[in-house]
Amino acid sequence: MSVSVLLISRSSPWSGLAAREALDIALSGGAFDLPMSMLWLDEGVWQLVGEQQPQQLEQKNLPAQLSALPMFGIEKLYVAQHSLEQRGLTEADLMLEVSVVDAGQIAQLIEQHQQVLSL
Amino acid sequence: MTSLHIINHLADVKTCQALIADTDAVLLCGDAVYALRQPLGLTHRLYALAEDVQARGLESFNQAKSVDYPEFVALCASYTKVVAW
Amino acid sequence: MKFVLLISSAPQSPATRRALRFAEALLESGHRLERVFFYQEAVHIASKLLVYPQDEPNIAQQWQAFIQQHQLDAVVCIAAALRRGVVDEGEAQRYQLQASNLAQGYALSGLGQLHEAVQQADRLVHFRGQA
Repeated sequence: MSVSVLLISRSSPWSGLAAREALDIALSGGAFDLPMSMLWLDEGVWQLVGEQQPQQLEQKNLPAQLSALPMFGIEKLYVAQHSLEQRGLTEADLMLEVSVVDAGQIAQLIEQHQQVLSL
Repeated sequence: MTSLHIINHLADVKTCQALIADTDAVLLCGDAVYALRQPLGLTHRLYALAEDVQARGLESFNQAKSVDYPEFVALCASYTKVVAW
Repeated sequence: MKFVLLISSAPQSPATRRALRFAEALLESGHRLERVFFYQEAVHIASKLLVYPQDEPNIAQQWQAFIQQHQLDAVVCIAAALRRGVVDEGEAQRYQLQASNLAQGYALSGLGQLHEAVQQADRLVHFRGQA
């Protein structure tokens, strides 16, 4: 039985490598068929906001790769409600189908997964 | 399943509170120990890394149980998993 | 218990020294340290080019000595390392670089090693620096 992992991504998309390196863990985990879930929290929610143009910064298309997560078998995708609200964002602003979760649900996600990694 | 949450940054002490189950424990490390200066009102079992508390002159603020490295290891072993923020 | 450490903090971050002191206490307590995985800024700790002022603790050297003394499985994420200029001889040749700098005791490898360790560990402890 595989150990389930919750990966929490807390960094904004274009401020350095953290968002990319969190995604790398998710994609490689998916490639190994491991049970991984992903939660975007704090500045990480900016990764999910629609209409980004990474080519303006000569960056690779992170949002497009996020869309590929289900293809890697990572379908349990969550975003923190309070992080959205603090930034004046709603579910309608997001380009990815994710479940919006409140603090209590996040505590449950943490409890339910056997390991939790936060980047 | 109970978790030990290691909090390294001061800002996270407030933001992570609501995300941590009541039965979990919190270990403050690094600058997060500055949070001890004010009443935290945490329901969780609270620990702080002794060297960080002492380095910052915070021994008189004793909301948390100070732990050294062997105790830090023992804490990790006694909780089901360890979550770092 | 089988512990795995994930370290993502830069060499000068207090978390990197904290991880070492934790690792030392872990072994002294009789636990096993199955793997130490260096990711993100932590890959720099594996460079043999770090120079510390004489009156400061040489954390890089201490980490290396600890790894070698206990023959630990110290893995440095290859993708993270290459981006940051930490390379072994093989990668230096592959990319036709003028030099290599990976210190003895460390091995470059992929995230598969992290996943394998996470899957097999009793406890995973992550030492991280500034967000």
